[in-house]
Amino acid sequence: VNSNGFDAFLQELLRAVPSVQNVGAGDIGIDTDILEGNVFDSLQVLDLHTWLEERTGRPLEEEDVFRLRTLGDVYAWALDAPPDETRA
Amino acid sequence: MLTGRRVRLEELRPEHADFLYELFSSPRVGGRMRYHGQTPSPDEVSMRMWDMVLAQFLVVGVMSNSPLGLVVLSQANFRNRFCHFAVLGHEAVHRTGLLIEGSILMLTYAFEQWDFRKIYFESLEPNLDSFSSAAGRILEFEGRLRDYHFMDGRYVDMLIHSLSRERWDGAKHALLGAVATSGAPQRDGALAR
Repeated sequence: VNSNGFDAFLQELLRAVPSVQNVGAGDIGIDTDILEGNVFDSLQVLDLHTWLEERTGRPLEEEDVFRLRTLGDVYAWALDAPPDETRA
Repeated sequence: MLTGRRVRLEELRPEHADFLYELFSSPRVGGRMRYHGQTPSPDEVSMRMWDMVLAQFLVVGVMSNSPLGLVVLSQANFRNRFCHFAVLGHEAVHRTGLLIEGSILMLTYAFEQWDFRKIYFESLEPNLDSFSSAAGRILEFEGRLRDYHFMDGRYVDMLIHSLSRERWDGAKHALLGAVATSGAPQRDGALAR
């Protein structure tokens, strides 16, 4: 379980991807459900893909995008690890 | 053929009939949009495939070679220089960005092939969730038809958005960069044909 790493990853995502800044991130912290809904919406999912590729230096191929269904999946892909090894 | 990094647009061929029938008869996808709960026969789907269509292509995965969805330009009005755009895809493709990539390829094709001033997008309000960021960033809200369509036990509004050539020109380099064909994403990349 690496929830601190996951939280830091989400904060980095919010800082790095202008289109999802401030979405779901209020005084009470990040609402992952809201953030997830926004990140995977139409143009923003392209922003997410671009950021992931720039961050990791790895190309995100067709088969990869089918595996990115949740923010946990995104985090796992960024770490190049199965989702269940990155967070509970 | 229009090709991006992860998807390409292909002409419809007879061997795609099963995929298209499944797409149009699915209650959550084409069945909802075009057939409103009816269960059309394969012949009816086939006959109506080209109603008022200007151009339509399958969205096909570059690696998998699998059909993923359909992008359509229809109801072209050349006197007033507009048409309508639609995209359909199975639920498995939703949230992957692949239909958005196919849509960007199709919109590029539309504005390059014809001198359209704007392209309209019609959507039922419950479906707005699937493209709300596009609605906020590049589309303009044009109007709302209240209680237009009965679905899931209630009437829902029809929303009309548009994409003008000016807005497309302002956004296309960034959008095309995200779906460019070569290597890592290129902000100013171009499409390969």
